[in-house]
Amino acid sequence: MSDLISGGSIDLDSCIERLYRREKLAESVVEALCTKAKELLIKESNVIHIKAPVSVVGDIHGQFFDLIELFRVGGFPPNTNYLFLGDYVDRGYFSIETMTLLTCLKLRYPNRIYLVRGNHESRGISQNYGFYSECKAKYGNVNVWNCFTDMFDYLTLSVVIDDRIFCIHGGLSPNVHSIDQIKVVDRFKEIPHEGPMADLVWSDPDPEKEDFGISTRGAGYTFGAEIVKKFLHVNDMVHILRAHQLCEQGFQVLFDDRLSTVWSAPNYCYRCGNLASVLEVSATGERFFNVFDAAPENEEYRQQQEQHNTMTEYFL
Amino acid sequence: MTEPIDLASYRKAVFPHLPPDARFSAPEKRIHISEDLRFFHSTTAYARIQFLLNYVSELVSKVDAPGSADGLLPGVQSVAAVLDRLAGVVDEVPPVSGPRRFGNPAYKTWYHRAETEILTMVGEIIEARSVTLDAKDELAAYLIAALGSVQRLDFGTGHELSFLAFFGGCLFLGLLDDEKSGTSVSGEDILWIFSRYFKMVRKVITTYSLEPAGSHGVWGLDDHFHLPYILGSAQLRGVEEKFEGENAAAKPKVSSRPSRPSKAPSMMSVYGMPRPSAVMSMEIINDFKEKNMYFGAIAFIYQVKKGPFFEHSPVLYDISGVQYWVKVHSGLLKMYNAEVLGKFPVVQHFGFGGVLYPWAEFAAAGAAAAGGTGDKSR
Repeated sequence: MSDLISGGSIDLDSCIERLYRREKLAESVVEALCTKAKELLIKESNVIHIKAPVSVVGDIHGQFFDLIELFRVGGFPPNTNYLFLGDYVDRGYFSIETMTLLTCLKLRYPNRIYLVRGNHESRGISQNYGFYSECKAKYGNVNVWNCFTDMFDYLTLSVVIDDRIFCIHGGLSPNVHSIDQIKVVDRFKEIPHEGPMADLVWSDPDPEKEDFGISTRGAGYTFGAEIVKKFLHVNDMVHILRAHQLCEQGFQVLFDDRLSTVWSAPNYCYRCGNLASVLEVSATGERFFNVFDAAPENEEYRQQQEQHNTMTEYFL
Repeated sequence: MTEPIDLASYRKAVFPHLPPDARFSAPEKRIHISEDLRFFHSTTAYARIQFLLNYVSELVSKVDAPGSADGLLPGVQSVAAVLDRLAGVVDEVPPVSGPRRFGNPAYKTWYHRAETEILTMVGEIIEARSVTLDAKDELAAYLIAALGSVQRLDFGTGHELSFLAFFGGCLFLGLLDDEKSGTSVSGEDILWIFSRYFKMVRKVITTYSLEPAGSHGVWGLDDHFHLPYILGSAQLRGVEEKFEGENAAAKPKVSSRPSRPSKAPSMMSVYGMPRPSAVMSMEIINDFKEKNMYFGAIAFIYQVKKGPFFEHSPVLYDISGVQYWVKVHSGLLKMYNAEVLGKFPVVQHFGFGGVLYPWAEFAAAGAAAAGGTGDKSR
């Protein structure tokens, strides 16, 4: 067993310290963390009500250095409360480090850190878009991937800030008019192909439409101005906050300030040249996008020999 | 893959002839759930895609991309002219300023104009070749689908696959071969058409900031493309192996990365051809980017990505440690079958029509055996 676990309890502060240094934790520690996290997350509602001030984070996609940069810009936990809107894994190099750190922070500060499920927090997606390959490359097997994806089934679907701001990863669903309908969803499972749970993590706003439309993503819907207005009215709220889509400036505000997209992966895929942001919701309800660029470590970082891409199997 | 393939009979096996009563129809999506993939892999459409991958790979082997259209088949020049026209329309539709999420909305204007141009020009090509005009919509749909997504303002390997299908459609309908002189498409012809396409698409991606569609990030080959790597490695395979194969008893190792990527000489073979490790040399990339598709694609990556190559493109970096192009090529084909043709999110958008790529079980006996690598999904 690792020195991080003794008598069944995990030394979270040491784990967090090591993770900030981007050290890989032992498989047994990750397994224990996921088990603990499931015990914590199972108690959370499908709709968690929290209070501002809170800083809201969009897609990270394994860009670990940029997550640390985000903390530098927005304050390290627990000095700043954070709400993460999902898509922690896939595409970037450090999905494992990102996900392990966020899990530790959630366990250490359960009422200051909230983790919402994104469409990539699923077996089907993360098997194909990098997380699975990364687990195989860094641990030599997929146990860690199994532990994390089992834990993903426990992540909440939505958060409401001060009864005013509705937060999800993707967007609205034609099957969800009132947030009470979210509360009754059985969320403890792989994200289905359709239905309210799929829509909440997959849908996108369409600024040119009024109603729901077919999404070309193959899951979820597009939703327009009228749908947003109606949803906010029925649920007596003022704003919808979501992630899920790349934004050149790190954020985008639509529908007369009724919906925001927050995006937290700068220079996405090393090519997009986009900015990132963290949305700070103040105690009085004001929203401020704190914009940041790619972390300097990205330039300095040199890939060690230990990592091998599983795609190279094709060339053996 | 080393045994010679009889391309003419392979082609006949997958596309015997155009029946006089052929019923063309606009392609429709048929892959709705992931279970449909299995049937897809048994269809005539799939057999034809496999044929095309093998066909282009065989013909471009040891061939440089031509620097101009001089001497190429008239049919090839007509198709290339369509692609050049689409690139020309980009100049007429500059990106617009103003708030936007990511992709530039002017792309939609370009796309709709491109669609109109395609329908007109493909119609003209078909008419000139006295193929029934009924073929126009079915064929043109593949080129339109190869422009990227007008809803999502993104571009990925699914769109690129549609271009392969469009090229195949032109080939099957006899729009490329010169029937009078009995000359069929050469490697130069193929490289010219594909290089015009990639040139146009890269211009579109950079001008209108198209998003990578469903990129695998550092865990994938490239955010947008796969085919230029197959074509480019096919161009280079075969020469070194022939001379060095006997001496190189040790198996090529994937993990044998070049320790310091700077010494240009070892990146070139004694036959004056770049080795897979040459992707680390800007000098060699610049020398070969016009004549070789692989290096053309690598040059584009250097143009659009920031940071060290091994960091932003680790799969390509790992491939640079493979010793022979023939291994690179066969690996890329396997990867294409698994990661593009084997993936629901990619092929769910592929259209199946009445004649070119039918959603029907492929029946021709013995033809599948000639299909080379086949499907190796993991």
